[in-house]
Amino acid sequence: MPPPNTPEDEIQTAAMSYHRNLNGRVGPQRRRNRWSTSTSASTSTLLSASASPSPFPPSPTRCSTLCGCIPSIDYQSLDYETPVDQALQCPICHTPFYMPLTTSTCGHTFCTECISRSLETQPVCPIDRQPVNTDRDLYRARVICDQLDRLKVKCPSKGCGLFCTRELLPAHYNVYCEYVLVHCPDPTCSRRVPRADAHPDNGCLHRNIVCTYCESEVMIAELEEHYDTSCYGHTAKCSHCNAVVVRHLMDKHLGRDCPGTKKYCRFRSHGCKMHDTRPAIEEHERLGCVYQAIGELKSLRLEDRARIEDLEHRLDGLDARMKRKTSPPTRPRVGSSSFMGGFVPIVQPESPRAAASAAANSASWGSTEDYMLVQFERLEAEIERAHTMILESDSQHTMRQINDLLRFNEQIYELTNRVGALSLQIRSLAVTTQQHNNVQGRAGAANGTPSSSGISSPGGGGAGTRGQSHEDGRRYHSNPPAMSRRSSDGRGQHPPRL
Amino acid sequence: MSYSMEDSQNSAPGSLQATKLAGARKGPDGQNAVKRLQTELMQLMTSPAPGVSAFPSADGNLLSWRATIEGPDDTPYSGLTFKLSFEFPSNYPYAPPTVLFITPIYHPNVDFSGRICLDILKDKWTAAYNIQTVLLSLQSLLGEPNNASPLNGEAAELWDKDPSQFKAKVMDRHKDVDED
Repeated sequence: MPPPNTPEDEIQTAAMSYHRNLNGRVGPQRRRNRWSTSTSASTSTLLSASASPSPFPPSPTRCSTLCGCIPSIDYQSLDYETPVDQALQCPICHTPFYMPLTTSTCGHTFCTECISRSLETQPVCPIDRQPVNTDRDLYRARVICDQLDRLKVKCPSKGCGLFCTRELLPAHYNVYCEYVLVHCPDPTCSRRVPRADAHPDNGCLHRNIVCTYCESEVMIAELEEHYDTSCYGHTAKCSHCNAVVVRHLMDKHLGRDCPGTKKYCRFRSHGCKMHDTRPAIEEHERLGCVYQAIGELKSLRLEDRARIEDLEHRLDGLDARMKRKTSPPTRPRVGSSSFMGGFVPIVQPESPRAAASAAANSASWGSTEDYMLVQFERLEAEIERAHTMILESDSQHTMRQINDLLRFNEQIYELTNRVGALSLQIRSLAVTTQQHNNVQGRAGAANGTPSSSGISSPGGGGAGTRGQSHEDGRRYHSNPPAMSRRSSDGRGQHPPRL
Repeated sequence: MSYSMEDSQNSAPGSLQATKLAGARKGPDGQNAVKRLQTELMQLMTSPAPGVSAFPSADGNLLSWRATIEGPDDTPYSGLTFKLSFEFPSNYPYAPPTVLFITPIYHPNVDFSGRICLDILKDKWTAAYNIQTVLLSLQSLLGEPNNASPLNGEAAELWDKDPSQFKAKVMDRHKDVDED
């Protein structure tokens, strides 16, 4: 690679190396040297350039996109679309950071050039005077770069006026911008032309040609300016309206402005035959050309026609599709509805309606996949519904079971109580009978005579016992709650006191 | 591009080299300084600090400014305004401007020709300082002089011993001056 010849070359290489450096560390000693050399080189070139009359430093004729022959972007004098946040501005140059570096000791950020120049005089942070080592304490903060990349800037080339993100600016400026001054396509010429004109077919735009109007020699690149300012015969009278017009704009004048030329009505295509001078035509159009309404109707009709054709086309397509589909899709639907109907009866009233709407919708479905998808969704919804209903009935069933069970439990409980009462009664009866028998037996063994309190007659005794038992039974019958309470108290085993 | 070649161009990056480079940089530096001063002017116009103001001098040279400071309240300078001149070097902001009081001022750290003894205008200068911060520092210097290193020893003594006489001296010395 040849040694750097232009300052732009150097700066651009430095910028590229900065952007390439993705691990966040910049080789600082080298970088500093880069900047030193670049600025000193630029100084010398600028000084030498100032001696020559050309506004651009004479540089060898190479003119690829990144050859460095175009002036590099001066990031410190870019125009930003909106005012940039103070936090994104370098405290040294007071412009938005360009290639920011952040100190790892105190976290302050500066442009690469600004901080390296400041560190040359003092190796401390300019904000808080923390010592900063050029080799170790500077890194590139990705988040700041990202924010800067998103700022909207105006393209610096004169006449362009394009706003783009700062990230894209180099690409635009170095490759696409048509206003950037690049080398003249002629390799022997050292001057510059806007990129738009720098086409090899154009040849050198700095050779002189004879002006068509004033017969003086003019450089091609300056022809327009010559016409507009210094050309003698550069103006001419319009043959139609006697207005003085710059010559190379004559066509434009005739086409757009001249009141003398004849032109057709705007609605000629709709049938208007009007052909008159510009003012007359303008007046005619202002008053309202009859063909305007006709033209509107015509265009409306054309629109409608196009729409109808489109709809017809679509209808044909749908018809064809419907024909193809009518047999296969019905089968699964019938199957599914019968399946659902057999399983969950409540779904049935909805199912035909869904099927009907599905059939109505099927006309608008774009493809088989859509149709299947809709069917699938419908089935899924039905399954979901069935699932909820199963859950519901299940819970109802369980509730009913629980209710029954409760009733049974109560009955069993009551029966248990009654059985307990009866067993007590039987026991007490047994005790009384035993006592009775004992008394009778003792009396019979002692004197052999029946006691006065004894049985007067077996029937009377029987009646008496029966009456007593009946009375007891009644008593016991009225007693069961008390008994049950006692039994529940755990005193049920005591024989009742009679 | 090989680094070795580049390093050979800059084989001894010492102080000598640095000064040489700084000298050689005069051309673009001037542009940088002017650019920076333009942004500072813009900032001073859009968001001025109370009590201080600055503007390039009338001859249109952006490297030479005139500034004004109002004496802070509760100091002997309260109610007085002071004019200053700023001369910026071509490598500004990497080197401090030369600041002088044009208005005669009686102050421990200012001599009778208006020269100021303030560390940030000498060795403590950093590129992050600007006209506004310098003016605000000078304003606070009026209320809090550094009597340890006075340029005007008498003023330093009076400041501590006899505030009323200090005030009288300040009023005596102060007089409004026209531009140059």
